[in-house]
Amino acid sequence: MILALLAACTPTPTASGLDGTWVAEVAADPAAFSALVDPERPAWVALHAHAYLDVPPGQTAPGRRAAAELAQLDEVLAEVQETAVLTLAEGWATRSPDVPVPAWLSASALRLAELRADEAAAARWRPRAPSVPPGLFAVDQPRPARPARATPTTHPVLGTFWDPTLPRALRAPPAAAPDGLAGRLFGPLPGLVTFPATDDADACRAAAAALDAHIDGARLTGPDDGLALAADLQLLAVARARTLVDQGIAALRAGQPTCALYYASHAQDLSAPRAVTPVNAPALYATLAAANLRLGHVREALDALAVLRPDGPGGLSEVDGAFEAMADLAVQQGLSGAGVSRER
Amino acid sequence: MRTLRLPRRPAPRLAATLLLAVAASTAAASQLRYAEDQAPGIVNPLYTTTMAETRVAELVFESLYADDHTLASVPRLAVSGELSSDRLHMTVRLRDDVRWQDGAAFTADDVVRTITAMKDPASASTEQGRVAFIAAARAVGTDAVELDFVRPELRPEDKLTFKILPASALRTLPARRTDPFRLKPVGTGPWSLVKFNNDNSILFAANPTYRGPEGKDDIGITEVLMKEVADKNYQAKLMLYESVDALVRVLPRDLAMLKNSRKVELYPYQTNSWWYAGFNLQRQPFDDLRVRRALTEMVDVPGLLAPIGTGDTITGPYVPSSPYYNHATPAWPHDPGDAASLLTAAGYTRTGASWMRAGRPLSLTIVAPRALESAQEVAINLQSQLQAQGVEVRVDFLDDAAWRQQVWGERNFDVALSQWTFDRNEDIREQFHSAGTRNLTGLKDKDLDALLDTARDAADPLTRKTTLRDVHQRVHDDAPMVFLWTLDSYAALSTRVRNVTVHPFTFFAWAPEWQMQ
Repeated sequence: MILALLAACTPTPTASGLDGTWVAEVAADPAAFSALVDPERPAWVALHAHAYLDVPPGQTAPGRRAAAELAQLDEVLAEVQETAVLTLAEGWATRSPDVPVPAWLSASALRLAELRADEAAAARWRPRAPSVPPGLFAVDQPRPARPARATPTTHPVLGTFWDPTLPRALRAPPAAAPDGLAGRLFGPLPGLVTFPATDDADACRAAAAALDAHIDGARLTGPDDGLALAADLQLLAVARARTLVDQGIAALRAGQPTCALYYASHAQDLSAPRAVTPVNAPALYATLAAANLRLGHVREALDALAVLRPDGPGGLSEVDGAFEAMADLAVQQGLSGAGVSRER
Repeated sequence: MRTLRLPRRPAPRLAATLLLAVAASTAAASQLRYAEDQAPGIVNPLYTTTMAETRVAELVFESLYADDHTLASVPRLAVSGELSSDRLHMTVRLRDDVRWQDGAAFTADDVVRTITAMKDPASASTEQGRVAFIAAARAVGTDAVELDFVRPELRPEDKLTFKILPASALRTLPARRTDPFRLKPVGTGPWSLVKFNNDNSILFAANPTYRGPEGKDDIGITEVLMKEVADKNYQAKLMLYESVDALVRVLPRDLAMLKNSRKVELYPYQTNSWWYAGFNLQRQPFDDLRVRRALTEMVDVPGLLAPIGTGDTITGPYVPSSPYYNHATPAWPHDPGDAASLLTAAGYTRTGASWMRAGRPLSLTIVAPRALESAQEVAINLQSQLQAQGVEVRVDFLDDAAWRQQVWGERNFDVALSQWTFDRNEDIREQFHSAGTRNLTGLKDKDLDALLDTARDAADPLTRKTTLRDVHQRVHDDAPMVFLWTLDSYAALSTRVRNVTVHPFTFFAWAPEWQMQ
């Protein structure tokens, strides 16, 4: 009876379900994988581990892929930091009416409003922001090299502050992905399910469940060394997570933070919930932070962002500024509150 | 050719082990069964001390203002509030369509009586600090309350989030923790307490007179059953085999297993929690900073953490993702050599296997709550680490009543091992200010008090943030506790429960919207 019950809980595998995907390709033809990876093995290993800064930059396939990953990451981090700074600035008058808006904050809010083509916000900040020299903000300078560790900007009028345009300034222009397996390796599994176009929590849960059911029901076929390779590198788990995180970023772009939060949360490998691993990419944490911020859960956004701090496991120089902006916003939102504590 | 499939399901042997449990506990279709390590002893918001008590209070009681889904304070039992221009007074208009679960009308008298009881020192309410900002409260008719504040308040609605009790329960003051109300609570909230069962479970039923926000009166879950499952290791298995629908806190080691189940969703919850081993500074030799530092440096914190799960070690009274965590504060090193030097400077000599001073060995008793998950493992390992370095250590595990009596009442402990959980404000003032009502260690540091006062009174976020980072450093330097770690903290809910959003602190704040499939 027990066996019958268990069998009833186990979907019948489809013939493959993953045909044409890069995961199936690697499992079926490990020699092709080796031919691609072996000439630049350290770079591919770093890419698999999401250690993008350890991939030598350049026109090699892993170099272009790492640049694309960083560009996507900086897009989300820019969204996080800019939104946090703008929300902090807009909330200052009501949350701290007895304290003037700091000069750096009004100047930052004006520049960000301009960059976002938000003319109404720019008009609000223009009379209040001090004039600053052209080129003060990173985004107005030639695209900077990524610093090993970002430092605050110091200005005689604005004081010391974290430049909120740094992630936008660091973001590389989009480049064409390499052809063939080199362009798809460790990437998503597109087209397996249709994700909803609305921000409906249950609908996006159902879509993610459908993706899982598809992957669970699929099977990889190939020689022993191909299957061992897929297992050792967690290729299915990597591809699943990447599919969900990409969908999360797409949901953010489409103004669907509830679904973005769900997809990123669902992608997370909780055997290492505060670490960057092949499954838990930096983009996963950035998406969690951005979605929580959009939903008003600022303190929860900090939990995700903390993983990416330079002294944390994610180790990205531009995150310090985003973290501090989010921290300021979290403090602002609790400024009038009374703390509650409990034992256990 | 071989076939590889993702292992996403529990091992079959677990199914065999728990099949009977599944069959024995089939729940009503709209009943939510959730597990706690220990059943709350009372349901009275005036005396809430643990998160388990906070959760049941959330089912039964409401507050004047509450968090909406963006965590902004919105009227709940209030309709509106009008703040005076000097910000020292507020008139709160109350809803006129709310009834207590015994049928009585909710009125201004209930609010005034609750505040009065909380403020009354003789009541010894654990929530006294939450109303300290209110100087006086007066009823204006039945549907309005006037509040006077101690100092100007910018957004007092952010503080008016404590639970309101019926005046009928507070006719005689001071209130007492032992009042019969604790077992027969009457609230205005979405569920009412039906009964405490003999198996330590508590049954709540949907309140038919509940009036939800914005006309949302319907409650998707008709019954809530709190089940005590003392064996934490068993909880995840009960979840996997649908014997419970929710776990409020999953053991870190069980996270990956539950994540791989299609029947379970995990939600970050109670993430602002950290563990500590707090010294009693009112006792010798723990009043001596050198002794506290020595004992701190004897402890291998990562070594204590490793067996119980994944998390981050901490250097002070915040979790590392907090805005207030001072990342420039280094951890005290695990350095037995330096610890020995510190004890020598404090007058101890190593004699044989023990550190001795004035003919007496350095000895201490560690007390820990019996119901705290993993506390036994941690306490025993801590005992082992200290004993190996010449400290005599005894360990006592206390039930809730004994903990309240011995630790909080009598202050009869050397080292208390436990955990604090904070809401998103992460306000540690009560724990570390000389006048704090939850200052377990008895720390008294005027400079620290001044920093905490500055942070409390800060009018802008930048001042509060930098000041509390200084507080982190100062508390670390005072070493009133061995600051241990924050664990990865998630709640689990069955996928049968739909439309779920979990409040990051109270858990059930938005549960009236949940639906059972």
